[in-house]
Amino acid sequence: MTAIKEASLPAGRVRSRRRLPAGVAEAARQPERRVFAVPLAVGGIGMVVAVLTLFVNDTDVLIAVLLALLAAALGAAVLVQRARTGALDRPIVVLAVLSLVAAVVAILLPTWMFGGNVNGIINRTVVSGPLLLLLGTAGASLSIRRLLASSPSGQDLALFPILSLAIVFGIVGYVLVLGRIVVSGLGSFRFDMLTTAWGQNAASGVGYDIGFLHNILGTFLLIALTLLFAILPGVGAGVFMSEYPGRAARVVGFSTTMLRAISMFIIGAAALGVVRLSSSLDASSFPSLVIRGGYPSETGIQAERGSFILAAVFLAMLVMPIIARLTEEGLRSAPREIREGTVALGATDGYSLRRILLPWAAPNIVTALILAGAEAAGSLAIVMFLAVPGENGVGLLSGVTTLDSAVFQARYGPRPYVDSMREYQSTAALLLLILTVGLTFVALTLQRRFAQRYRGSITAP
Amino acid sequence: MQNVMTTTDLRVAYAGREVLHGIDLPVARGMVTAMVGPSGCGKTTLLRTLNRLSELTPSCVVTGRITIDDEDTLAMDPVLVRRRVGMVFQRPNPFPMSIRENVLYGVKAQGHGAERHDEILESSLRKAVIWDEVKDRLHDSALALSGGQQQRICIARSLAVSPEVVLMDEPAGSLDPRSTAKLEESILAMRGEFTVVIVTHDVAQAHRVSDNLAFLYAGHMVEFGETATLFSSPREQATRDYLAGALVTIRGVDDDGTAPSRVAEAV
Repeated sequence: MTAIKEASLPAGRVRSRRRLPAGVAEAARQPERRVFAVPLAVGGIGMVVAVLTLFVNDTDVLIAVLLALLAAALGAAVLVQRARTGALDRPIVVLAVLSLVAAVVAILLPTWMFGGNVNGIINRTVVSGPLLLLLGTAGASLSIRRLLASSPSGQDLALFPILSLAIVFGIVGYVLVLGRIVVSGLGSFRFDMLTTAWGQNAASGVGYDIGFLHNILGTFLLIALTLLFAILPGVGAGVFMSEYPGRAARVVGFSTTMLRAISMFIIGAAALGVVRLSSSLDASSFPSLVIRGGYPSETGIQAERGSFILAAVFLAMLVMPIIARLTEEGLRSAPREIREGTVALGATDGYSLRRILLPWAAPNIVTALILAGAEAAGSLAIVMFLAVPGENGVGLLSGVTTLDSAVFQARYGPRPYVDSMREYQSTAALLLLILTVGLTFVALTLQRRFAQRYRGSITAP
Repeated sequence: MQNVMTTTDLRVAYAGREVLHGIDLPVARGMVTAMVGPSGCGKTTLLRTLNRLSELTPSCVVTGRITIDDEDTLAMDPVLVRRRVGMVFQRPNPFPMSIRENVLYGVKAQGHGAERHDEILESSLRKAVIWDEVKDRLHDSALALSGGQQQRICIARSLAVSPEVVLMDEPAGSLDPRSTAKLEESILAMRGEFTVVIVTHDVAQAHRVSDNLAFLYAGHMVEFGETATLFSSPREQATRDYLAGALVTIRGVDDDGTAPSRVAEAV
């Protein structure tokens, strides 16, 4: 078995993809092309510097210098090439002129726009940095094309700067969004926050205990409840759409899509509406407990603003379409041969579904469940109308509280909570981030495992 | 000789277009009946109609009569028809589970006695002439086997539920010559106990394994008879040409119900 695998995968193939394809290096050595190595180097350096300047102060002048250098390198390359071959390379000329203009803009723009008293961050992140990034990428890409024009696989390499630009944008996005949360969240993090619930200090009665225990437990409880409510309708709708095509399935599919299109805030407002309707109920009555939640106090049961059950029901509406669509997709991907195989053996539809089709869709369904869980953990719009700080505990009939409501309430929550938790907002955000990223990793791992287990290698060519 | 299945004036249309124009096919019990004919002649459609698999295609309309032991299959629950008429497909289609689970799949699906599972497993694998190759790895995935072995697992799977008839749709279509020889060995081993209807492109294979032979052309059954007779003295010129390898494609034929003799003229 191993021998076959090794034989079918030539050892050199994987490695050679990392090297330059044969013939490309030779192409670059042709003298009339070699001159484009200079703008390639300048463009590449420009791309790196453009990204770095976003985060480093007082580097604006470097951007202008690099833009000017790029213009000079491109111009020189065009002139040298013209002297040798007599042809004028118009795209390169255009790029050189653009670079020159950009260099002038990068120098003069702050003075024009902001009267010389410019905030460097705005200039370099909004104007000159992106200019250098784009022109550097274009310069590097075009230079590679010119450098390797005689080799077809060499020309493909010209895509590389453009692809790396996309990667850079992705990374910059991550760093900008997550960097601040991670840094400031870690700064105020203490391990005892994981085991402490927020509330009035029990021992002294003075001040507040700082912690996220109930928020963390609440997040897990809410995820579990949401999935519990969403899994049957979700998988059921998916089965219906895939296995019983027709008018009814189209209606189900359409309403599922529509459910997904509804703004989360509207679902949240609907949940709030249900709470409002129940406001006249006695706080200790069962319907009120199920809808609003409650906690015992010296004067009897006190109502909260919305229970975990209520929040989970409305979150289930939000995530049900994810489960339905992914289940449908998984079922549809089952090969026709296997479907006919089970039918031809006299299996009923239900048996085929249970033994063959749902296991086949299992990787999709497990992914859907975990994505839905992550969505439930992060759908503030629904929870924020209902949530409480959580000092009264976590349970099916308690007032709902989650990490994501903590992020919100640390700024906009009730008075004592805001006062004591304001500085820990990013800690809550960091914990929520870790939780959702963790869930996504679990989803990916389980998906791979389940695909291996329930699909075997049958989809491999 | 007793017929286990017969079709009478069987017509099949897809999306309003008739592809089988009145087939009268007898299937003799315990024998191997082969169907040959050029691509597109309708032999696979005919086969898939026998276990009502063709109606998985929504636009398919079947008229006429198909009987199994004198019961009208078109009036039966299709699941019950498929429990009596098994099928082996052109491409091996083992389920992504162990060899054992594959073979016992139909048995479990039909809810037969669990106490006989081991016995059924071994006897089915023996009938499909693959027991010796897999007896030590029954819990391994069936997908790890070679194509030829997978196909014999699929045969064992369909035999495990003791069907009256086993349909085979070009079962050697994707196999190498050695696996094909093994497969033919298992078909010959099934003869007697099971009734086999096999569709094949390979005229020589039909000659080797079948007792009766049907030659289909453009949705008509041009000729039916004992295999030896059809090969030695066919009644129709088209049969003679096809079996001799001269007639490969369909041309110049209306598919609106023309008589077999006109088909022969057109060739």
